[in-house]
Amino acid sequence: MFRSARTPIALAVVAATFVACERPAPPNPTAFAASGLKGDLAMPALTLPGADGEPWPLAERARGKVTLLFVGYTHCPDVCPVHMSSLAAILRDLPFQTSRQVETIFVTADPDRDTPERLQEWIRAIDPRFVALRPSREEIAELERALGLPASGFTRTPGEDDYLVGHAAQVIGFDREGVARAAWPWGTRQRDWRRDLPRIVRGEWPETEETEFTLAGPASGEDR
Amino acid sequence: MQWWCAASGVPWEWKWTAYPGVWIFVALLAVAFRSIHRRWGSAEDGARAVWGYVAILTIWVALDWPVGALAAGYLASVKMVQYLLLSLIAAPLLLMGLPRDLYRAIEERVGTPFRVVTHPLVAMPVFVVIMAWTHWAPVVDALMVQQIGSFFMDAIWIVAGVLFWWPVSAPRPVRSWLGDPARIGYLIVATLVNTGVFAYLTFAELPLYGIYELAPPVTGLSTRDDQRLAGLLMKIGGAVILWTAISILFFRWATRDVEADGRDRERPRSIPVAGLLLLLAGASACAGGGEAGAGDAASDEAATGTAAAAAAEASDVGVAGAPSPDADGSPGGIAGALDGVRIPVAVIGRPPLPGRAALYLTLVNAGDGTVSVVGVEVDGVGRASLHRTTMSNGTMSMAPVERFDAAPGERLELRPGGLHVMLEEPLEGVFDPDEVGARLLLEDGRVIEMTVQIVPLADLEEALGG
Repeated sequence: MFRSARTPIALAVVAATFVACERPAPPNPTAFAASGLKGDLAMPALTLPGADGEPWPLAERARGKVTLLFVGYTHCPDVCPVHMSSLAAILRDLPFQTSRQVETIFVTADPDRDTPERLQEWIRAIDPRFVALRPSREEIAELERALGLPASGFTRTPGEDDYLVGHAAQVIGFDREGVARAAWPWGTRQRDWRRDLPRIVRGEWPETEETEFTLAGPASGEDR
Repeated sequence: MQWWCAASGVPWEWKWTAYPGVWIFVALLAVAFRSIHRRWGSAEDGARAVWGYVAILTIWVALDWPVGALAAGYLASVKMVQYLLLSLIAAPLLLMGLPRDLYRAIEERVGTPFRVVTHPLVAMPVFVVIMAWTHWAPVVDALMVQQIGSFFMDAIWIVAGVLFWWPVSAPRPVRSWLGDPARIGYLIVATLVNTGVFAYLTFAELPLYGIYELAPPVTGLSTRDDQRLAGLLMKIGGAVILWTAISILFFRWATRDVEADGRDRERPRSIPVAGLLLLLAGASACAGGGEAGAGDAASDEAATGTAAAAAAEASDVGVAGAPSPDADGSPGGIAGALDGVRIPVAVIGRPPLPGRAALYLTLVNAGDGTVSVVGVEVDGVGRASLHRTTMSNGTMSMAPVERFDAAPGERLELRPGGLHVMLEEPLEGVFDPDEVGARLLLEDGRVIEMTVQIVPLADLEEALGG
């Protein structure tokens, strides 16, 4: 194929250089993977039903602990299980004194299919310490409005019973006063959580910046 | 239309997908192989050609759906299987399938540069550098998201494999000085050179590859376990392949009575026996290395708990003492002790809802007489009873027992699924703190004061030492 061995070697060197130039910068030890929120968003004073049937007063329970809140659904094929599993893996790694100060809440945006039994089974499989809430559609909409999240919506494939749910892609972090301080986007890796979680438990939060919440999954399709 | 498998981030479906680029590549390979045999092949090379077609089939399996697709964007372990198929299986088979005259023709036409590149002292290091480079996370993350990058990685693995196996596969007299013993030595060295990449994958604390970490889940395997599996596959799978090749070379060498020059050469009978022993020793060492790796990986996870228990046992505390949590909050110290009876660890799993809970512990009887536990008291708990969980005909049942006995020198372990202390009628909030006071009541009237840790149920196993 090549007249001399120099040609493939040269190609390999060029490719190596290309990749070396393209590779992402190493993680900055002082930066956050999260965007800082303005600080005027408080945990809504809503009481949502838990998957176990117990009411969960969001604002009240957010006080005194760092709370991470994520809106998703258990049939989600990618973003929800990856986000939740990454968090669970790092919380298991962290010293108990740190991890016990973090409350992770998963709110389903698909209460029709996420029955209490399914929701509990799903969240327990990821981490039994996580809290799963199953509000009504109206309550979900109210929660999203209060937090400035994009409205979740369904997208059905014609001819199929299955459907996808568009929902906010970020995990929102609340401080011990119940004020939203940061949003971790889809793509946050375990190494990022490992760096960020101990810092927010210590009370360090990212600088405030303009943050626009984005949807994971299909864009808000059909109305509920 | 996707021509080549690359990471797409699309949820995985067990639905066949066409990759025309792979078919064209495999077809071109088959056509080239057939042309080579037509031009350089002889009647003797007919059987060799079969190996070549098996190699091309192997390449096809490695590159096409589902292996190629899973490897490109979902599972690091499947990527490792693909590497083994391309570099360590297809490459030598491809070389075995080439006509003998082609080797001579290549060396004559290409000359010195080719002889240098395929020299064992060059081929092996080049192969190792390519192997390491193509498993380095930034390279994988950058290449696998593009079809051309993914193609480049697949192609370079085949090229690197051919280069690596050339000194072993090239028929004499092309490498007349490289006899079977030297080839065996070359391959034995090769079993060691992947240790760096193996360790990089197996012992990494966090997921290395972004494409696999953020990929839609395919199996119940966590990203870290998938990565560890990839490392173990590289070490153990690679060892199996290389030691198979070593065995073939060894038996070919040991059973050959007449050398190619027609001169009889008496070989001491002890050589094959010694060689066989060497092979067995190598194979067992290799398997042991793999197991040790797996053990290390597993022990990493349990390190906190076992280290805590070991540290507790190592310190011979003669009086009841409170645990002293480590700086990071992990359990440490000793739960309780009295006259040669030590409780290295005592833990309650915090129940998710108020109600029953169970207390587990380890009791080490270093004294001369049997220690019989006949009761337990836990502060703030109305009733604590000794229980045993048993499994019979697939049904788990629990029954109260009168006592737990520990003979002299015995280590009594109360664990989930076995002996435990059932705690009932707790006061509200009694399991909220991180620890609670408790007492073990012995038959002889002695009481062992304990401080029991309270941990989330998810951390129970770790707190008990894995």
